[in-house]
Amino acid sequence: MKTAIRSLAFISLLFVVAATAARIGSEADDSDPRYLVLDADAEALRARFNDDLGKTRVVMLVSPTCGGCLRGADQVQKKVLAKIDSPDLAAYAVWVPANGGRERHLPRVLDLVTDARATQYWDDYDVVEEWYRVMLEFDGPCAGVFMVYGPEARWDGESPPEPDYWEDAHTDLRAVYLAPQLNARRLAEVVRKQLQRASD
Amino acid sequence: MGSARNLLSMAGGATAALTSVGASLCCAGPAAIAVMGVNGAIFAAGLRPYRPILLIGSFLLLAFSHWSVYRRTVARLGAACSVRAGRISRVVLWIATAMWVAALFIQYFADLYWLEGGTL
Repeated sequence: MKTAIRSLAFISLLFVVAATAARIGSEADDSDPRYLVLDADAEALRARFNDDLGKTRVVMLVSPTCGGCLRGADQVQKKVLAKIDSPDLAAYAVWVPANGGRERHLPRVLDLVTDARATQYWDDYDVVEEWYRVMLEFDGPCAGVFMVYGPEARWDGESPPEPDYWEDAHTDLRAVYLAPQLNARRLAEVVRKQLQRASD
Repeated sequence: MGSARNLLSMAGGATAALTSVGASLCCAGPAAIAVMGVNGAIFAAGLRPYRPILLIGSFLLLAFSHWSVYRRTVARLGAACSVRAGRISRVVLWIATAMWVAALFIQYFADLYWLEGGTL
């Protein structure tokens, strides 16, 4: 019994240390050039999206503290962006405050997306997540979503246009089926088809 | 032979419990990243679909380890007296058991206490 109590105490201590470490965490540097902080209209993202009109665009909606999102971002970097070297491809990683994620968690995850064609954003007002949550009919947090937009897609209204194709890193957790489980190879195929269509 | 079997089952149980914790912790928010790091969380997220299998497997291994460690054995005539499992073995076993329990409930507590709007 004593052994059991000591073991439980040890595990509890581990969790306290982990929680403290998570709280202290790595503080974000205000001048970190690797990402932009979005305002309440997500203007920087909208402008970039429209500037890239004519390109196939991949939008990643990810939380910096969600394993499935990090895995998805890593796979999209390795299996989509690193494999398709077309200049007609652009990518946006929008880090959202879901799953306990905060801006201070970003420095540890920004290096997952290293492609020069990708820009990264912090959704400070949680507006992008909210827009997509409503658009894609999510019941819970909207993160771990990987979307493809064709070259004609244009962001005219307040919220972004509907994606031409999207996959979800958490299909297995959703109460209802919304989209296929993320498969970066399949996503790469969709991107290639969009690029091919644009060049024809 | 018996102690080797004990050790093996305990190591198996502990490893499986650890894996279950990883698979459960992968998506429990900032704590997951703090404990496992970004690469650890990515690896653990890959294990998540197998969480039920890992939990059941580690439960069986741990149950067997408990039985091996705490069973009463009677020495046969002429054979050496049975020796109780060592203190370290018992500590490892109980830590692994506590981890298994943590793996079972971690997502529930994460939802309840430190994650807003549900977990992923």
